[in-house]
Amino acid sequence: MVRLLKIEFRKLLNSRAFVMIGSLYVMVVFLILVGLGNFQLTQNVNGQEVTLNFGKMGVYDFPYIWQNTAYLGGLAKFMLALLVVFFVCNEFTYRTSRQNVIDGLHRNEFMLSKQLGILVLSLFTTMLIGIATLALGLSKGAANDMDAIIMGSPFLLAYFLEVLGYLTVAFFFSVVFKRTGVAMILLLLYSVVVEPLLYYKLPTPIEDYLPLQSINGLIEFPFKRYFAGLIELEVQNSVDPIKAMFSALWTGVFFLGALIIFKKRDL
Amino acid sequence: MLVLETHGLKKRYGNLEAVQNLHLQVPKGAVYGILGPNGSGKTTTLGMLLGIIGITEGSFTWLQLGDTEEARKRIGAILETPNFYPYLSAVDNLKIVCDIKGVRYERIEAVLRRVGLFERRKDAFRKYSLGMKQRLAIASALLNDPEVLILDEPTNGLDPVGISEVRELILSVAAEGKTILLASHLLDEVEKVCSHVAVLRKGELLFSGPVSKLFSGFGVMELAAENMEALKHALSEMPECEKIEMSVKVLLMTLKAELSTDTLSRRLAEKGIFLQHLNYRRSNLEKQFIDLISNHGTTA
Repeated sequence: MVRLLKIEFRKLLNSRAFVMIGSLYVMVVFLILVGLGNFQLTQNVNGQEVTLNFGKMGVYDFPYIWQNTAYLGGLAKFMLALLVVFFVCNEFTYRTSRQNVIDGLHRNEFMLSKQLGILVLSLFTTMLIGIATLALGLSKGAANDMDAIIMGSPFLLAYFLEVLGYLTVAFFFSVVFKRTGVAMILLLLYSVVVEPLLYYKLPTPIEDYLPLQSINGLIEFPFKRYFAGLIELEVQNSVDPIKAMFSALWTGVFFLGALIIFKKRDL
Repeated sequence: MLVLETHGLKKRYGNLEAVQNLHLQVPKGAVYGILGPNGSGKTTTLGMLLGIIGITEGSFTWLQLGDTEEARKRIGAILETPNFYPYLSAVDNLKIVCDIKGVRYERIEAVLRRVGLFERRKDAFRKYSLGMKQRLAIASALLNDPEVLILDEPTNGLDPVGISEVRELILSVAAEGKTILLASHLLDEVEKVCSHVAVLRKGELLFSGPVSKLFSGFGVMELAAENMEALKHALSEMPECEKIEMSVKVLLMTLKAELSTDTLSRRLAEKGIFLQHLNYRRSNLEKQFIDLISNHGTTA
């Protein structure tokens, strides 16, 4: 397993594209998280102008900060997906996957090295979000007691599952379509057209467990909480374990699907 | 000992049989040529043997290990174009191959020096010329000090200097007693470097065995005179003549018995025919290769 990671990360870390897009993701997420406290929103509620100052309303307070940071970090995950699509498709464009197999890498090992790369990437960004959350929460938040900190932390796990799941879906599309542009466009098409259509066609309990519904639905839009006093809203307070289970399940299904296709294919 | 043995290897793409019922036996230490025109199934065959193309029927075994990645780790192979990560340097590309094959990084310097790329080892692969790419591919194939080296059209697209460099490299590897499998559409190449040859046409094996066996017969005379009709008539009366064919500006007489050039020219002079051109070709592999292919073409 160390060998496979070594192979995969030599391919990744020596690439300028990887380092650039990777750092861009980290920078964008940090800017959003730090800037969140200064964010202001003016809303017209029942004929009254209400200005909401996110910093003053406690976006950095435990336990809620976990959900806020996890949600925002998750929003930018398409940048990481772009990386995955780019690097997996490159293996087909440059026919290096073929050479890897000729050199003696088992097809399972090739796929596993890619999935391990995705796993490490997800763990790494999860760690960054975790550190950023603790730093912001402890320095700018109001509640610093241990119970509050621990209470919201499952959202970090949800972030991890969300990124891992989405990147695995991107991996699947890359293996199936092999060209960066095609895989990217079809992934987008699936995300914003195909699955939303299915969502409306399918009956209520099933629709929530579609792949991207379960993956993206792990962390709901959290800022409704701050309007809760003004308008009647239902607010998510914890991670739904069933959805978490389905996310993990879909991750496995997409990886296995990609593996089966890759194993049957002439390279 | 056999390095490779195939049993009825077959590849079908829809209705097309790209490789038909192939039985090959490659002895250790052989430089084994797989010869055939483009589209005859050479690369498909090698692709099956290297695990990147699925087999329709049949089986094969490498180094008595079967069809496994353990066997492939002891093989060095390049198929068609050199495939490397374009943004990685030669050294980083080779480190990946080392990690795959379980070879120590110390080997990298040795193979890069051998193909003359050590000075350019830190350059990204995409900056290399075609000849350098091809040499890096050979370096990569040599990394694990392989028992078998597989090369597919290794001189394709190279300039004459590049071609001779690559051929010398092949011969020097062969001199170490390694088994080499070389696919080529160039007869000349196979004739120059191979000890054994398998001839493929449309996926069908036409001949396999030592190259020397392909040189059957007594050779061919290439002749021209002012009066070609008289020349043709005189030649057809000779007992050594098997058949006569018209080439562009010369007659080709295939021999069925020993005939020296001085005997031939004396006989013709006696008949008042004086030659403008006379060439005796003993090793007429090219002719036989074309014969082999066209004969099967007409009978099939």
